[in-house]
Amino acid sequence: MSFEVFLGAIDALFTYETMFWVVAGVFIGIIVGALPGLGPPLGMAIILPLTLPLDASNAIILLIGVYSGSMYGGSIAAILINTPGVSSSAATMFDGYPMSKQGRAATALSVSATASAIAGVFTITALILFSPVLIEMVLAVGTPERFLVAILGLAMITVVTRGSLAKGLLAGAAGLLVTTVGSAPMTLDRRYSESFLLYDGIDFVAVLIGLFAIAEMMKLAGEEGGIAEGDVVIGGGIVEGAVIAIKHPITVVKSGLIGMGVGSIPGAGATVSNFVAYSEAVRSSADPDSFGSGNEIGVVASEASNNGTVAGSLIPAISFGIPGSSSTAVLIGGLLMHDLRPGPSMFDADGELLLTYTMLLALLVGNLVILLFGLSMVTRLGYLTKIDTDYIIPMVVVLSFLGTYAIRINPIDIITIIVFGVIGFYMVRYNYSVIAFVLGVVLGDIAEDNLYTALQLSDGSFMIFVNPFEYGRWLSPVLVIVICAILFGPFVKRSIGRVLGT
Amino acid sequence: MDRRRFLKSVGVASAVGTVGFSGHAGAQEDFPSESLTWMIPWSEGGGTDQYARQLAPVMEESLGESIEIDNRPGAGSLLGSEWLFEQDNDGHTFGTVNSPGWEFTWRVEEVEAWEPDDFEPISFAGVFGYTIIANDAHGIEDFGDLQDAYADGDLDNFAYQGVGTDSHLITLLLRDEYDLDWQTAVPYDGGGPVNEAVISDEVPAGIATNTSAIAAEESGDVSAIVNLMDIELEAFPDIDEITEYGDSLAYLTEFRQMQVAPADTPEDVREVISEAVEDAVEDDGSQEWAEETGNILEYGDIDEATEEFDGTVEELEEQVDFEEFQERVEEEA
Repeated sequence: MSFEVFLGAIDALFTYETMFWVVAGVFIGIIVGALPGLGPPLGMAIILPLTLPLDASNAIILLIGVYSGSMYGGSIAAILINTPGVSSSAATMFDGYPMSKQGRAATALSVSATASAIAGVFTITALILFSPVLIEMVLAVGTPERFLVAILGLAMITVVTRGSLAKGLLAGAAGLLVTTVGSAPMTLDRRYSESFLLYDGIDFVAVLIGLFAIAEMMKLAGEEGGIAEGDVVIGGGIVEGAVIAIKHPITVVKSGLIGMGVGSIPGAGATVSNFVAYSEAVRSSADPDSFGSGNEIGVVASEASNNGTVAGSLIPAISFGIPGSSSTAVLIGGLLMHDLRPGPSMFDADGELLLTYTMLLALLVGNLVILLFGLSMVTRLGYLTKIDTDYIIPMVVVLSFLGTYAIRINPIDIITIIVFGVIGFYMVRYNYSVIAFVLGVVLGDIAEDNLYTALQLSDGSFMIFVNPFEYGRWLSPVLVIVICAILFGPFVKRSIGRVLGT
Repeated sequence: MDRRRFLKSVGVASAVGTVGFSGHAGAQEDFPSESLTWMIPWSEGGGTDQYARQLAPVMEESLGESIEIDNRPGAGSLLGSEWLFEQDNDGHTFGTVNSPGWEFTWRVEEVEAWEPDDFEPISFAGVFGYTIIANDAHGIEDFGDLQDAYADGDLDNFAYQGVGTDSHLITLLLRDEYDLDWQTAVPYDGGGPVNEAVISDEVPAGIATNTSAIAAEESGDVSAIVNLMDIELEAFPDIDEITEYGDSLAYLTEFRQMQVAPADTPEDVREVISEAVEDAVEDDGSQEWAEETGNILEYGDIDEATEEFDGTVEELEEQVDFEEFQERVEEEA
């Protein structure tokens, strides 16, 4: 990296005006992230034309601040009301919400703020230091690798499923079936979608909201009191939460890196990385059974990964103009609007490197804002969990429907929420893994599309996934090995243990 | 306007008449009387959305009312169109469609509930279309080089934007009629993924829109090598034109961002919106935006828009054997 340009960027960043836009961006981002449905793409698209009077760096800093803030903001609704504010916070619900039920909402919120901020700072620093290497890595990930990442995620079903593995696999398969609805990627067939409302399939955000928010509200309707159970005292220190995140540096760093890695793959993005990081935390834990019932490490992993995704998704966006998601598409629109062309010049000292550094440094500062704001103000929202559910349920239900409908204004999403609300309610009651189901729903399309395209590339040969010599794709066989390790590792380990034990 | 189109219009007019549409005499003076809704049948951040968000603020000034941009993505822009079809025809609701890609999708999906001709054109605000991009690693400089490379077997794959789309048909036509002898056509999920695949050299060449081709060139690894449209591209003044190698493909490759209103929206009201679009297109800020982003702003008034709009479906039917196309899509799968 060019040190002089770096110093110049520090100089450019620390002005009152620029700092104002950093803070404003993160603040807006937290709010749009926390409101279900009102995700970062919509928030950023609304702000985009308003950035016209700003100079280029402030405009981009504002947009990127919204993006970053929303990744953290999504955890607020996930923890407090079991509703993913943004889909990339879905895994935060698994342990964040049980913590709220135990009266530890404030702790969960502070874990989330701290893990988000540390992972954000870590991954952006990595991006600043290693951008040339990372750019090369992004190009190594193509269609076959994307398929394998989806399979990796599906293999995680065996890790995250507690209790009956058969039920877990069944739930995962049911999730995959949901993604078959809609137009087929390889023919002109429309599967179960005579109406155009189903042409693009069943929206997984609506499925998530139904499975979690609505199913949980149905359950709460049968209980008295607030979300926090019975007479638990609302306690749980803010400091305690911060300490928990700091005490798990490996989880933070690993999840941040997973977020960055998977986030840099266009089309996979934050939601997939979120689940992969969570599953990895479960897999590597000494006490995997405690996940799903309020294990703080689950929140750490989930929240570290989605903030890591921000840095990851910037690599293809800035260096090639490739939008990995709607959010980065709007960001690229912002760059173009301010006469900045994504491309290698963004990382060239004679080009726009100064702006790139300023933007990344602003993100670092933005993560500190997340930390301060998260620890000081957001944690107070924990008291929401003490309010009687008679007031909470209608609010959450209305917010869930409105928010989901706002995403693509498709009435079918309303039906989706209701149907999957009921399904989620009974899945929990009969001990079917909701996480396995969600993994199927999130990954099915990615797996199918990329499998078909990969096989077109190889003329139908599956060797494209395993033979690095013929196709020059070294990452594919590595991913295949990792998948095999996840699937068969536990059996092999047990067999070895048995042999050694005898 | 041919006879068939005329008959259809009469049918729609009488149908609407029965549900209480009464004359709009003097509409122009009162219009607009409330805020307007501009339906964009694509997501936030896409090309069509960016045009609308650029033009809307200037149009608001001209019209004296606010404009809400309403993104209704889905079914390759058909879902939003279906919604627009059912809206009031008082001019306060209009939308943008990208013609003739929109008509193409409508035809392939065999929509029966409405026809493109049911809508009333207002204006067009921009033009975009397809080019072919290739990865620089293969030393391709023009379309001739690309033809040779595929013919010699140096290259195999060619990328396009989704099964059954116009870019799929163009890909087939390039091989049938323009001697581009690719071995496998590889579908990607839209323009962004095609660009990415060509930049990373997963596929040596593919179809990209002119604006995304600019972005792809900026990556330093990719060049636009042939313009598939008839209009000249300022961003690529020196590249080949497909017409040097065969007939024009503009009926498939050149899109106008057409503003349309629901059936029987009165002409005087459409005129008011059209003038606002003109102001917005000619605005200095918009022109500057176009120059910076490589988007092409080009205003066409009601008459010009109508001329472009009318008969598009007929022309597509004339040029394209859709049944054969659908059969070939199924065969490939």
